[in-house]
Amino acid sequence: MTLPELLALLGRSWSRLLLYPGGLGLALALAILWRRPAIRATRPWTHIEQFSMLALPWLGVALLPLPYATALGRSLDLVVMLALLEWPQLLLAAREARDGAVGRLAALLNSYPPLLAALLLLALPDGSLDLSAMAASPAEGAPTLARIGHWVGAVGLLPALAPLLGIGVFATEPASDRLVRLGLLLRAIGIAAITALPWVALIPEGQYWLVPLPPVGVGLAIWGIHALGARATTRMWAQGLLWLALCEAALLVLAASEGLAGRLR
Amino acid sequence: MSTSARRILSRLPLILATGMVAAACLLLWLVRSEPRSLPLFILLDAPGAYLALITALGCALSLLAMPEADGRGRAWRQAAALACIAGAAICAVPLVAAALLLIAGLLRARLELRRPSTLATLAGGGAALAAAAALLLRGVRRYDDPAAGAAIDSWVFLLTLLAACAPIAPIDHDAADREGGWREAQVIWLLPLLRLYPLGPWNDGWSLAATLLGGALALWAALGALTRATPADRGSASGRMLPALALASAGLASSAGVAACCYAMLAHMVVSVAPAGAARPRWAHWSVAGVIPLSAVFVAAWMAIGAAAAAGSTALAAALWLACLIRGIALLTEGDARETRGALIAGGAALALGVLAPAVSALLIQPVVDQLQGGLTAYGNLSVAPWVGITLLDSGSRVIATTPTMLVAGLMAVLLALCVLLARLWPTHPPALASEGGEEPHRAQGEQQGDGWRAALLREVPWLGRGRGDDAA
Repeated sequence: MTLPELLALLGRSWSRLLLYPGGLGLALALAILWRRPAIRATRPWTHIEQFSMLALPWLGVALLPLPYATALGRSLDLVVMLALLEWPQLLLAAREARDGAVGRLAALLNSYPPLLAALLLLALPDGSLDLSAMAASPAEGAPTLARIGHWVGAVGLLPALAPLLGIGVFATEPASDRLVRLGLLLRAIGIAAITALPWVALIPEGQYWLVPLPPVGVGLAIWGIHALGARATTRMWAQGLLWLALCEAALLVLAASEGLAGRLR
Repeated sequence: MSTSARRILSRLPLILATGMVAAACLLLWLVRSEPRSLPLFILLDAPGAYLALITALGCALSLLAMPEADGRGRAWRQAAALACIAGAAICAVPLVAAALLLIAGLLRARLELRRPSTLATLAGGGAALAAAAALLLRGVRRYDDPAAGAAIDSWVFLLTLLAACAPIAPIDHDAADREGGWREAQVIWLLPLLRLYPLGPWNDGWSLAATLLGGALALWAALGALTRATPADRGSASGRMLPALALASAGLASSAGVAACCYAMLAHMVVSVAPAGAARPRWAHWSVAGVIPLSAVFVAAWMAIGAAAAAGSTALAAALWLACLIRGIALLTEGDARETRGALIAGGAALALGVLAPAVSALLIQPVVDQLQGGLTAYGNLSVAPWVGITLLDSGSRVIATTPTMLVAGLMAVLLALCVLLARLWPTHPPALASEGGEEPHRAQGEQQGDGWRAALLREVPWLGRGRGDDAA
């Protein structure tokens, strides 16, 4: 790629940033935030903290490989996407921990093992961390264990949403700053979109009216976790997630062993 | 002696280190196509030149950060160690190279035998010397000896691996180590390990041992960075993670793995300029924490994770990913401090290397990968696209991971500008309640003084807390 091509790529990106999916995500986040009351300020954030906590998840949402978004020819992978989306939550959790409140940080640490294992299971059939590969169904020729792992990962993402998004028993005090809250909402939208991606791949081509179903399904799952999850304690959830992570890790190891055995044959 | 002469003399180690950076760059350029054997036991190859370059760069940056009032002896000791490392990098004889690396490690550990770092150096150096002696007994005098490949067996590999692991073992460092004297010792022993590749392919057991050890040490270091009781211990632990990442990547036996190893070594030398355990200003925290996509530490982590995925080691990829996230969180939770020269240099250099990762990979790391091809597998290749970024490919040339750094940087600049506009249109600080006037903002509930929150965290997170409660209490 040359410099003029890069500049052309940057020029084509405006629709992703301002319309779909970036603009739509921002509008949705603004609509959710509009109705919520202002919260009394604690320590103010610096401008660079505020802007980075909004800009990074906005960029992450804008670059998601969602259906009917402008094609850029270059996509991100899971590692970069997670880094962009997680930035506001990590910064907020770190500040709260320094102030003595560890709820948000503990929830994050409880969510990461099952989340990372589930994301890597989704990448198993194709062997690629590329997000666009995650949005496709496993190929027919993929090993059976890898295809099973893919769907285990797709389902395994749902329980990890509880601590990751701070819902149900993991709910914490919302941030006081509006830009920070906007960034956190964009992060939640991005994570929900990633959770819906594997299911979007099941929609037959041309049936564009079915595309909203997976995100609606994920939204219903989040609501269900919020409503039903309060029956268990955080400790029970944490132990359950740990067992889920161990099972997913065992599946990863089995699939990798199968792949290695195939390579050696 | 006049003032100017004294000033030049005090800056002589820095001048020498800078000169060595330039010389190493020139050497890397000269041997980028193929290694060159010279008389008098000299072997000029890309891996040696690369190690000399990054250690000289780290030395130059730390000398630049060192206050002039600090011990002149420390600067000269650092320069002497650097000279030994340079000698080992161009030495063709394994035994002499190992001895020079051992001397360099002991110089940095200040020859005090009771210190943990000295014992670790002796253990690692002893293992490397034993491996080199075994090669010598089998008739291998030089690395480019035609019979060298046949002389390598599991014992030689195990001793070389032990030499690479010893400096990054989970031992507690004391104050002198944390002044920054330990960082080169944590990566220089990777050179003998990497130099095994041109001699022949590794068997699967060797690769498994190196990746398992490296992955376990990386995860252990990351957990220590979050849960140890004192800031100094946490700093020591976080300083071990990048060398462990480099070891795990080196064991993948692929081009992507070797590239990830080299990049992790470079990132380690740069971010360790500020002493381990020292508090850093906020923006330097972000840069060295490795959670923002444009920092050198993030790129090193990304390359290691991608290389593991390309090689089919998804469990290793998960472990390294988790380790990097935990280390990032650990650094973000450290307290802020006033700016120091070392922190500024480390943070700025980490940011610059992250943005320039494609250029660094293409110019400095690709020659190393090309010259180690003899023992590498096809399960993970590196592709650098100018103006875009780095792509990791699998054996079928399919994209495994991609970081379009220039695209991300450009779009991020646009979005930051939009955020500034949004902040001006929409007030971000909620109005104070009328009855509370100029009251001080309250702190979050459940506040605990100092680092007491770590004990609470260990109770809330089951996989973090077992057996670690005493450390953080």
